[in-house]
Amino acid sequence: MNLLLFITIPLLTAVAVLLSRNTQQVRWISLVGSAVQLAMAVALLFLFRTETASGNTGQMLFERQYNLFPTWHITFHLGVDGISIAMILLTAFVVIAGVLVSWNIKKMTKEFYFLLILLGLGAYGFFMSIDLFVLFFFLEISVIPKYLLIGIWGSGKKEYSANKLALMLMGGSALILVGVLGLYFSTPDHSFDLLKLSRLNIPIETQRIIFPLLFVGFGVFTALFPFHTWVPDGHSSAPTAGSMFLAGITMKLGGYGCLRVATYLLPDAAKEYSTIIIVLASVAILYGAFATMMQKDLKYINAYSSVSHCGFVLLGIGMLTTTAMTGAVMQMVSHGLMTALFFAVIGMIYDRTHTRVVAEMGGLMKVMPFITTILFIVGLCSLGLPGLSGFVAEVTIFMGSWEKPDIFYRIATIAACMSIVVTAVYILRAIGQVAMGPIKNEGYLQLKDATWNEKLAAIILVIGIVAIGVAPFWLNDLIRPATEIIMNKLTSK
Amino acid sequence: MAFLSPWLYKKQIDKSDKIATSLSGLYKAAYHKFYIDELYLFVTKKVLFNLIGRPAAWFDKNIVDGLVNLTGNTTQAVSEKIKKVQSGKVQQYAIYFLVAVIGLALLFIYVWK
Repeated sequence: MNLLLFITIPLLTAVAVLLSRNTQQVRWISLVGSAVQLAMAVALLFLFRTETASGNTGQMLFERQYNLFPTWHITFHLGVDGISIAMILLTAFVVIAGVLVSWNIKKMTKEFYFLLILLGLGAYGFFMSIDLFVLFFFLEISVIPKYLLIGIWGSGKKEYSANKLALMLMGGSALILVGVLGLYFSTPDHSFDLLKLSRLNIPIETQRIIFPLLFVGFGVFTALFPFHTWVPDGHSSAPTAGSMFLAGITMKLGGYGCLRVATYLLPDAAKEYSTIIIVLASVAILYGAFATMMQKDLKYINAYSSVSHCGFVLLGIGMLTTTAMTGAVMQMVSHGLMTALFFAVIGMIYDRTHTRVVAEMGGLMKVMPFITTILFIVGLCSLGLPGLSGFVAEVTIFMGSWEKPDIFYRIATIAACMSIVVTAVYILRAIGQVAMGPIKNEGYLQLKDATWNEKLAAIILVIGIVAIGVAPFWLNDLIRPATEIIMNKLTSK
Repeated sequence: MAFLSPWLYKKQIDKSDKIATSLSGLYKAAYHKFYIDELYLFVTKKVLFNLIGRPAAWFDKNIVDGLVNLTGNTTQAVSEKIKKVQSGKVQQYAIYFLVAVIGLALLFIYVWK
């Protein structure tokens, strides 16, 4: 499978969107483009499985390498392993759902879809890059359109949120760039290549300096505790597809970076800093959950809940066991799908009721049965109902975290488990009030249920959630060999 | 259970009322469903929401957000103060240049021999 296709096809779609002449063309070109990307992602999964089944045990498969800047040892090196494929699948699902949900955007449709496809391009490139410089390049591509999406098509205090989000993510990227350059200069033969760097023995003093830079830099993306404030405002002010991308993909860029770049390349520092990471992750989980309980706006509820769920990812990475790290990747995929669906449903409800405040809504189940059913599915996934993907991911993380016998890790695991109860409280309250009970506003009786595009988007994401929840073994078999390689690096020192 | 209800209610005498008054404490508790609803609402509303949830939300909105806004506002305030340095007036630049040259000359002649 030619991995360059994941870059050229979105690029072609984006250019075709720019060249199209009316809104119909824009929408259908984007839809066809994202459907092709979804098909490619699924094909990649099956090709990967056949390759590994036929005995190919290379660490990264389907590699491609092109020289970009020989003097600075920058190569355009692409390759995938299990973790990358899981994230590429996630991106493909969220992109097509985002395209479908934004079908009725009237204002500057062409630019909107162009920016969406560009975001997807950046994410695909990020998950496939093995060269750290190219990885950083794609990271920036997938951050910058956010500023425009929120600032132009957003709602509420959109300029403030767009500024805050862009500046905080840029701050994180600055730290990442310093870390990447630190890695580059710390090697005798100056390389940006992830695989080459992973085989080196970087001295512990250098690791101690570079690891916090990289981890905090990527941590800003994935809502590490003090740097999570871009999440509530950014998600709430963004347009629906923007929120889906932000929560579903951007926050996972950070988690992937923390695992693949920070922990994999600097294992000794990872072991030293793991205590702090676990503390900050547990704080994010509980603090995010408790702050969610007091929110009155549906989008703020989901945004803070994303902070809490992404804390699980960091907890899994911080625990440094194979199962916990596998659980962290599973949580990235599961939460990505779930929160994209949640924001999609909130967007559908907001389009109809023009309010996101929970207290003003009620009894919507009578009026919009499809939308509220999906709302219930996604809410139950969020609180970890077995049969849906949230449970699978959380249980894997807990089991991995429980493997460490020390009292500190046990307490962190128990604290994280308690957050499920808090999640249940706020989710059930919010959803119960919105969907059930008497209808608060007579005008709601006229509201229509989901249109074809919204139904299709919801069904696509629900298929993903249920596929992981009911049959998690395929995801586990995909991810585990890759996390075992990372674990080997950690334990081999 | 099947034998208890006929014995209590069939003969239309107030046997159930007599039992209720004799075991008044237990009867009251059972009537109010053992106060579990009140306990649950107390724990969630008074303890979880007021003591933990509200401070967490306040902390996030005011202190964490406040620090981020502080960074932004400080940058803006500092740049307001120092933007006069780039005045565009060549006479001012000439004065700065002259003063700097005199200062450096004095420094080189008298301090760093």
